[in-house]
Parts: sequence; structure tokens; C-alpha cells
Amino acid sequence: MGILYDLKTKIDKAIETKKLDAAAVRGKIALQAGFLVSLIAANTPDDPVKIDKLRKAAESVMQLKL
Amino acid sequence: MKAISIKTKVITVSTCCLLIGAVALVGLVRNSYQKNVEMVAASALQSAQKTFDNLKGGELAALTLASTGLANLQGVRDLFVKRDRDGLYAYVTPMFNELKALGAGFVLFLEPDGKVFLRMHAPKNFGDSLASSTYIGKALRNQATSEAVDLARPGFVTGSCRPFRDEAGKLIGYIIVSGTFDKFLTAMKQQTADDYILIGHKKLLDEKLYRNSQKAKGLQDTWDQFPSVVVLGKTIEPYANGHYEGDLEGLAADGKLLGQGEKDDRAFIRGVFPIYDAVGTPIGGIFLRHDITALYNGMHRVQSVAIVAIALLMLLLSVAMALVLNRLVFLRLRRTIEVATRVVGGEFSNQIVPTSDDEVGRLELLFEQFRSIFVGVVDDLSKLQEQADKKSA
Repeated sequence: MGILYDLKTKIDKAIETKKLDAAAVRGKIALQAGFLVSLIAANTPDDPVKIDKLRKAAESVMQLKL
Repeated sequence: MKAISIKTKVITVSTCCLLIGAVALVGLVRNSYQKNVEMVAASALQSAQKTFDNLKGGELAALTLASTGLANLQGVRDLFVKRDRDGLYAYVTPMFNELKALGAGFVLFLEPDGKVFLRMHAPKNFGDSLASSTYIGKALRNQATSEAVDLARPGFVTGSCRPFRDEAGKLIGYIIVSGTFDKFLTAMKQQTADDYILIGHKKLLDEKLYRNSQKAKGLQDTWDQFPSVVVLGKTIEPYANGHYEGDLEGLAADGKLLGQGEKDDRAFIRGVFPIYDAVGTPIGGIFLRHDITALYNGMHRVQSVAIVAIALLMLLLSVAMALVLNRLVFLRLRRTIEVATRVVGGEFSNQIVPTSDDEVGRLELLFEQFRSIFVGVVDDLSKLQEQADKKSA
């Protein structure tokens, strides 16, 4: 399990905890990050660029510091 | 830089257009008012001049009639031929008093050379020549009746001078019947409702006689009010800085307009037309003040209504444009953005349904086609990943 998948799991948990509209929030993060968050699986290889983009998008959209 | 929405831009542009329209409309209203004022002013000046000419014509005709009446009286003729001054004075006095009551305050009998034989209003003063007076001089030169307005030494007069002949037709002298301008301006004001100031050139007057005459009539002595002209009649007070001298200089026969002015919440236009003596020399002028307050207020009312109407129109148009743009464009764009975001967020079943065949509708259709392709690609990718996972397991 890589960092990217871990980040995706944390984002999903935060959405659930904050009871947000999952599809809308994931969509906004995906659009900001530039790739589909829903396609990140446990075996998805880590990519430093993608990890950085995902962190920034999560912070911008959900104010979530990962 | 903060983005400005299309809605704001459209409303700003339409507001600017309406503002330009409002300014143009106010300009048009003002221009139309100005043209109306010029028309009214020209008409008022023309009407005043015509009224003056009519009154003058009537007055001169009456004076000529009076002088003719006197000349045709056998008693007057006999006494004048005899040069019986006292007898003539006594004989004419009852008629003179009646004429005086009608405004013809001067009756004079002249020798054929123009020297005064009898002044009914001052019987002890005689022997001086009146030939310098233009209408009397004209009558003497032509041995024919002459009547005109003249600027005599104390002020403006209207007079008629007719030859006086004996039964054989031989010239024995002249009879003058004349009156003052005193009631002229009041009569003109009654007829036109405008105000007037009668001004004459000082150089044609005798200062002492003027002052004495004003004093005798119980009128204000305004000799020193202006440098080279003097007010000889008025229905309103003259302006202290009325530039009357300048306005009378080189004045055309049909007069001229002197522009607009305001005083005590009233709006006026001013004009002046000249007065000529019997030989056509300008001797002064009548200044006119015509009230245009109703026209002025009307213009302001139209202007205010136009501004309020345009402000309301701007408000209505802005609200209408905002509603129409919202319904036709912005709500549909927002819906498309929401669906696209949710699809990217994993809710692939969300569809964009084109609501119309217009420009936004075509964009919605394009997004829906794009969404279908996107969902297909994601599905294919997921299947490939599953197969790869199974193989590796």
C-alpha cells in the first residue's frame, strides 16, 4: 500500500467524518489535482508529483492537511 | 486579478448605454427648449414692436384728427389770422382741457417760419423756433402734415404738425397737437403682458428740462443712472448693469434679442427694438422683458421625468437581463459544471440533459458526449486493472 492510496483513504475518511457530498468533493479534488482520485487503488504506484498535487488539492478544497 | 462575471459585464455595458442615452435625451430636451425660447423670444419682440407701431399709429392718427379739427374751426382761424394771442388762448382753452384729459397735453400755434405764436400749456412763452424738432421741421419744409415720435427736450413725445391755411388756401402758420409717452408702456404691458423700459439718448435731451419735467410729474429723476442714455418710461426697474448703451448701438430696425435671464425664481428673455424720429434717426429704444417661466419649468419637468424614467428603465432592464441571463445561461452552465465535477468525482451515472437547442444546449450536448466517452474509458481501464490483478494473483 503506497502513499497515494493512503492519502486517498484519508480524504475519504474526512469526507465521511464531515458528512460532505462525496462525489462533488472528490470531483473538485480530481479537477484540481489533474487525475482521477477514484482510480487510485492499493497497488497504484507512488508518484511524487501526483502525491504533491493531491495534497495541495485536498488542502484547497477541504482545508485538509495531509 | 479578480474575475468579473459576464453578468456584471453585460449589466455594466447596458447601464453605460442607457446613461449615454439619458445624457443625449437631456441634451435633446435642452436643445428643443433653446429653440422654443428663441422662437418665443423672436415672436415676443415682433409682437411688442407691432403693438408699439399700432399704438403709435392710433395715437398719431388721433393727434392729427385733433389738429385737423382745430384748423377747421372758423373761430380759431379768424383769431389766428388776426394774431390775437389772448383771444385765441381763451377760445381754445376748453378744447385744450378736453384734449389734455385725453393725453394730448400740448397744443401749439406756429408762425409760418416755425416760431411759436402760442403755447396753450405755457401761453407766456412764445417767439422761440421749433424748427429743429424733426417732425415740425419736416412739416415746415414740405408745408404738409407730419406726425411722428420725437425725442423732444424733456423726453419722448408723439406729435402731429399740420399747416394752417386761410380760406384762400394761403399758409398762415401751423398747428401742433402732441402728447407724451407716459401711458404708452402701460398700454403695451396691458396688451402683451410683457414688461418694458423706454430709453432715449441723453444727447438729444435737455438735462434741466428733463429734471424739471420729472419733478413736475412726480417721477424719479434717473438722469445720472447711466452715462449716455436715460430711462424715460418703465413698467419694471432697469438692471443696474443692463448694458443699455451697448445694446442700442447699431441696432437693426427689427431689433435684437438680448438672451435669457433669471430673477426671483422667474425666467425671462430680453430684447430691444429701436425708435426712430420723423426723418429716420434712431432716438432710443424699447427694451422688452418676456416671462418664460412656464416654458422653463416645463423644460425642467420634462428633463426630470426623462431622468427618472431612464433610471427606472435602467433598473428594470438590469433586473430583466439578470433574470434572463440566469435562466438561459448561468443556471445551465452551473448545472453542467456540477455534473462534470460529480462525474470526475466518481458518480459516473450522472448525465447532462440538454435543455434546449441553443448555444448552451449544444455545449451541454458536447459535455454529455464527452462524459459518455470518459465513462467508457474509465470502465475499460478498470476492467484492464482487474484482469491484471487476477493474473498477478
